[in-house]
Amino acid sequence: MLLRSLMLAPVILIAAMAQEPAAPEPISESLQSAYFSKRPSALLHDPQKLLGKSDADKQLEFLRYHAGDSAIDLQIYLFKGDEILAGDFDGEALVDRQFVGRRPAVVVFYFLGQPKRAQLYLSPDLDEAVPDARRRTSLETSIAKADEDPTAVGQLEKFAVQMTLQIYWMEKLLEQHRLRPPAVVAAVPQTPAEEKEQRDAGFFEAGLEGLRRESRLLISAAAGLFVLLTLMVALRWRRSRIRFVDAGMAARLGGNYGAHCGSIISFASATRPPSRQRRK
Amino acid sequence: MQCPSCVQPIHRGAVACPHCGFSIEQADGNFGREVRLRRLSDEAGILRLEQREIIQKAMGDFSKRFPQLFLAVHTTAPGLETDLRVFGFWLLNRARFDDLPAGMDNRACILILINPQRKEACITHGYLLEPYLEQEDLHLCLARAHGHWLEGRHADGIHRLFDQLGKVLLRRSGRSRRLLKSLMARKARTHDGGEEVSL
Repeated sequence: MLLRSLMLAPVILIAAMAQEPAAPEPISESLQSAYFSKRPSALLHDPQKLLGKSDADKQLEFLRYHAGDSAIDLQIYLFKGDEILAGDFDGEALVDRQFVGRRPAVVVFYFLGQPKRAQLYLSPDLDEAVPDARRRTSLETSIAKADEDPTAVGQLEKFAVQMTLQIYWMEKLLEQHRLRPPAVVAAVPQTPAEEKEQRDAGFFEAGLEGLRRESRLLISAAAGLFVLLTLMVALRWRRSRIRFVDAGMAARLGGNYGAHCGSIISFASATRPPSRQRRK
Repeated sequence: MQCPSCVQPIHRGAVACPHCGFSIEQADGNFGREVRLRRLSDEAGILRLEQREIIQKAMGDFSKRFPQLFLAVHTTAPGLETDLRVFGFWLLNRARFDDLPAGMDNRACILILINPQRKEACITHGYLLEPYLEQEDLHLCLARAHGHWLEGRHADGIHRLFDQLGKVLLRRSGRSRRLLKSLMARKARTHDGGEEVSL
């Protein structure tokens, strides 16, 4: 029995070793350079060609479609499932450096086949607008969606789709953030005179705005009144009665009511138009 | 001022035309002393029932706009060979309109005559409008209707004439206001002992 166990031990050990996942490997320096030396030109950055051509094209097309439809890009860096980034690697600093002054972007470091390891960073202007809670929720939701698919490529697709949905809400937050008036921060403490001047300027502006609003109201009211008066005058004119003063004309030719010779016209022929009958 | 018969100028107070001797008595000899009819009388039968109703409504609207005045339209029976002016003069002075509101008389009448047999139309009016309407104004009203009457659309022509007449009267109403001011000024002068001047 003991001999049997001893004979089986190496087999069991080898089997156990085969079941254990391989230890993650840090990416090489050359790969680090390929990934992070500059901002990627494509929205899907896959220097290691981990996706087949058709899958990569399909994914890229989706990201481009999203970029055309949204104010925020989704930038994906694709790594192997078991790769790790260098210990001193600072993803946030990288994104701050390479994604400033451009379109806002959500940057995802995605590990193919290991959606739970995905990392999410936001470009600087987006970082100001989106709170951490929203960021966490977006990532967790996208990971959960990716886990529904058994295949690595399917997971990536589901992750990307869900992330674009989350980006829609980030867009709203960004809009609100941009509409908010910037806080006035004094670089140096202001003197009382400067404070008063700033306050007065604020009052002046507020007063001016109020005046503008009131004048717009006045103009609208005046225009409305004018239209109403015009309508009333027109209606009155239409209903007006027109009278003629009786000049007391003397009777002629024995006619008590009228003796005007009148005017006569023939309509027997078109060859005799009214203009030719004027003297009749 | 012209004689309805010979269209020669006559004095405003003439009892008979000095040129042709025409007067109302001569016309009475031809047509009678009196005739009773309605303001819209279609003796020629050229208007359908619905057309008559529409014309009557238009006449009512006219009277609302010009409360002192009224319109009368008469289509002559076949066989009338007399000058339409002479007939119009006689009808204006001898017709009793059954549907005329109380308090109004033919001095305020504007009479339109149509003789469909001879294809002639005439317009004349009472003394009330004599200071205001020119010969040209009356001719223009008839001219507006001419095209319709030429094609046998008598009702349309009458409507067109009414429209033109309304516009002319509206224009001439200014003259009435000036006349009123003038009369008031003269009255004031008379009151102050000035010489009275008749119109």
